[in-house]
This record gives sequence, structure tokens and C-alpha cells, in this order.
Amino acid sequence: MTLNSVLIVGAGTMGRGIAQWFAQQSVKVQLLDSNDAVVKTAIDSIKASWDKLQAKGKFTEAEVNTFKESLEASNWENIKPETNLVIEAIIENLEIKNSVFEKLDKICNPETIFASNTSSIPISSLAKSLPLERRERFLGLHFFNPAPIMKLVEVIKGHWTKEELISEFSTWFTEHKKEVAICNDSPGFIVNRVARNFYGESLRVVNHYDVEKMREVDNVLKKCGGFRMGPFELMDLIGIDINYSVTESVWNSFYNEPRFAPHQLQKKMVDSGRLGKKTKGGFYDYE
Amino acid sequence: MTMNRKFLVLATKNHPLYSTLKNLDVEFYDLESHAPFEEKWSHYRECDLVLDFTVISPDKKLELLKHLNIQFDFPIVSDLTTYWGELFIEKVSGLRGAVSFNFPSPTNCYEYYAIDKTTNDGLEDFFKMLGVEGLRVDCPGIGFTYPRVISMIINEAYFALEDRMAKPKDIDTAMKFGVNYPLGPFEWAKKIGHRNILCLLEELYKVTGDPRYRPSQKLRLEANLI
Repeated sequence: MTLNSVLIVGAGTMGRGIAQWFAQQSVKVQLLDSNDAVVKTAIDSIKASWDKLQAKGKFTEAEVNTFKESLEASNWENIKPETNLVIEAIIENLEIKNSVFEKLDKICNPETIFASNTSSIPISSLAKSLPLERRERFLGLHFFNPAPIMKLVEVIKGHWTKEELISEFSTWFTEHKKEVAICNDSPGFIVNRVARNFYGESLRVVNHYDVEKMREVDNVLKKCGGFRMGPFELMDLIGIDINYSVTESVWNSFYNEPRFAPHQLQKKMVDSGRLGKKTKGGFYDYE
Repeated sequence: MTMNRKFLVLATKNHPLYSTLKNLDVEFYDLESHAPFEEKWSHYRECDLVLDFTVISPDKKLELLKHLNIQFDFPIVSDLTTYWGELFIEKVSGLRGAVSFNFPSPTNCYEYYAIDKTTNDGLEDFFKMLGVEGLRVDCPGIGFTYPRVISMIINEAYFALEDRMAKPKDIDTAMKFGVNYPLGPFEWAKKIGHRNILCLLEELYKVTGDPRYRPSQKLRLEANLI
């Protein structure tokens, strides 16, 4: 499979990270967002990041110049129809995503592959309203934050996705030093499902708001389990509201399966507005 | 006083440290070849600490600990990784501590519980002899913390396998490179032993009555194949 050009739709944290990584692979990248100012800010920040990496000796000046030439801002009027791949990384809303894909389908060539970086919406429900030929070239490519650093890409097979497409992406990403995990279209895919009980079970060990006990659990899981961060400090970093919403989404998708049930302490924290580092207080205080 | 304590160690072969314990400078009591309830324990009475590393059913374990409690005046510590440690501690007065060696740790650091200073000092010496790090916790609960959390993660990986969501290799890769786990859940399960994971989940289910601890059929299958 040859990937010479990619269009990234959505210039938020994930979109800009994915754009940066593809530009570093000598792929021509167009970055698009509903807000032109957001695209400009994203491109400036990616370029600033490359300058920093060059100063640290991670890339040469020539490499950084090539990366910068590979990355450009785009808008709905100047999308290149011949682009090889489109990756959507916008807000997690099915209706908005569907309207974006329907619009793109009218602009892009039939050969263009469509992918979504969704972490929670089924791939098949994103593809279902598109023509069959496009549905067969539609898959999930779930990157992890920060995309230029985190090695993993979950390659998700939707109901209509051609098997060859999955193996071609698997090979391509492996050749470009990413670690690939292939999975079927299932709620939470692999990571967001299997990792749920890192938080859920820890919450049940603690059971009440008890800072000393949370500190102990964090400490145990780092020191004895070899995890880089403890569950409570990680929830504070991610945002307790975000983590709670993912938990609820997976729980609902599995018809309230008790293994995924949220814990009342999460809900209490969200209701009290103590959401983690971003509010300067969550399970721990940051003031 | 350090390193001149005498330890009496009881173990069954199915404990992951069985061979290591056998070669330590301790009084080793092999439950594979001895019958503890028929034993005259008089020649072990010079010890400072009894350490129980048996992996047997909860009822038998409680019976054994109660028997040891009658025989010895010095503290008893038991590996309660897959048991309701809190209950055992309440029921056996001489049981002064608990360890969690039955779930191998990727960092060689293990949670332990000690009620008093004598037991804690004894355990610290024992950990040095064993070449491991101990991390003292406030309560053994049901299966401590690390064994409990990792068992639930592994159980979910087996449920995902049951659902044919992905292959074990892909699930391991995803967890190692997506969220930086030191091991993938299937690699971890192999190191810990499927039967141990199953035992802990069953104990959690039995004690709490919460269906979230229902073990996956695939995990059950693995545990029974060995």
C-alpha cells in the first residue's frame, strides 16, 4: 500500500498529533477544521514542536524543513480529491461525524480510504450511510495521545471493511515503527475496554473518599504492578468527568454489564466539580 | 536485631516460591511430604516467625492456621493473596500478618500487612533474605490490591477473547503500547497462573456477591487445562 497523501479532519489535540506523525513519515498532510483559526494555531504549534525537537537534536534541520513542507492547512474548498487517506478526528458525535463523511464522500475519489479516530463510536455506524464501495474502504484507526510518541494504533475492522485493507494498514504502520493491534468493531475497542477495571476495581478497593487509601492504591499499583501511574492520579490527569463518561459509555454499550459499572465515588466527584488537575482538585489537591 | 531470626516456613508445591523457599536458610516444612495435623511441633519452637505459603482451599487454610495458632506462641504470617485476608486475621489471633507472594510481581515488590512491630521487623528480615521488596499496606482486604486489580484486567481480556474482539497477541500489544502496561494481560496471566486468578475472582464473588467478579469461561477453561 502506498500512502502519499493524507487529509486529517479536526485540528484538536488528536488531529494535530496525527498530522504531525504522518508529516514525519514523508506523507503529504492536509489539516482541516471547521474553524480556520484552529488549523493555523495547530500548524504553528506543530512547527514549534519540530523546532524544539531539532534544538534537542532529535531531528536535523533538513528533516524539519521536509516535515514543514509536507504539512499544509486546508479548507473544504481546496481538499484534494485524489488524497489517499482521510482520517477524521473531530468531536465524538455520531451525527456530526456522519455529515462530515457524507460531505467528504462527494469530494474524494472512490479510491480514497476513509478512517475514523473515534474511541467510542462503532465504525460500522459511521460507514453505514456511505456507498458500498466506500464502506469497504472504511476502517477505524485509533491513535493514542500524544500520537507522535505513543506507539499504538488500533486498526479496527468494520462490518464492510475489506480484510486486505486491514492487513495492508497493519504492514504499513509496522514499517513506520508503530505497533498495531487489530480488532473487530466492539465497544471501547481493546484499550478502553480492557483498561476499565484499572480504575473500576481500584475505586472499589477504596470505596469512599479517603486520600490516604487512594495514595496507597496508587503506590501499590506503581511499585508492585509496574504501572507508570496510579489509577487515581491518572484519573485526575485525564479528567474524572472524561473517565466517568467513557465508563458510562462502555457500560451502556454492554447493556449495563456489572463489570463496567461506574462507581458512586466517580459520580460524586463529577457532581462536586472536582474533576482533577484541570480544576486544581480531584482525588488529590493541586493548589 | 537483624538477620539472625529463625523462620519456620510451610509451603505447598503449587506456590510460585516453593523451590526458592526450600533453598533458603530456614526451617522448611514441606507439606508435600508431611502431615501438619499429626506433627509434634516441639522441635520447631525455637523459631521467631512462622510463615505459611500453602495454597489450599480457604476452609483447609483456616483449619491449618488455627492449628498452628495452638502450637506456637510466636507470630504467624500467611500468604493470603487469594483469600479474604481480613476475615482470617479476625479469626486467628496469632495470625499477625499477611503477604501476597502468590501473584508474581513484575517489579519484585509485594504488598504485605503486619499488625505489630515484631511481625513487621521479622518480615523485613525475611524479605531481605528472599531478595524482594515489601510494601506495607493498611489492610489485606480480599486479595490485597495489585492481585485484585490485575485479576479484573486479565478477566476482561479473556471476555474480549470470548467475544472474538481480537487475538491475544493484539490485546497484549494494545495494553503494552497504548497504556504502557509492563506486560500484556495474557503474558501476565501466564506468569501469575490462571488457576490463581480464577481462585481470587471466585473468592471475590463469594465474599461480595457482586456479579462483576464472574470469571470468564475462557479463563476457567485455561485454569482447568493445566
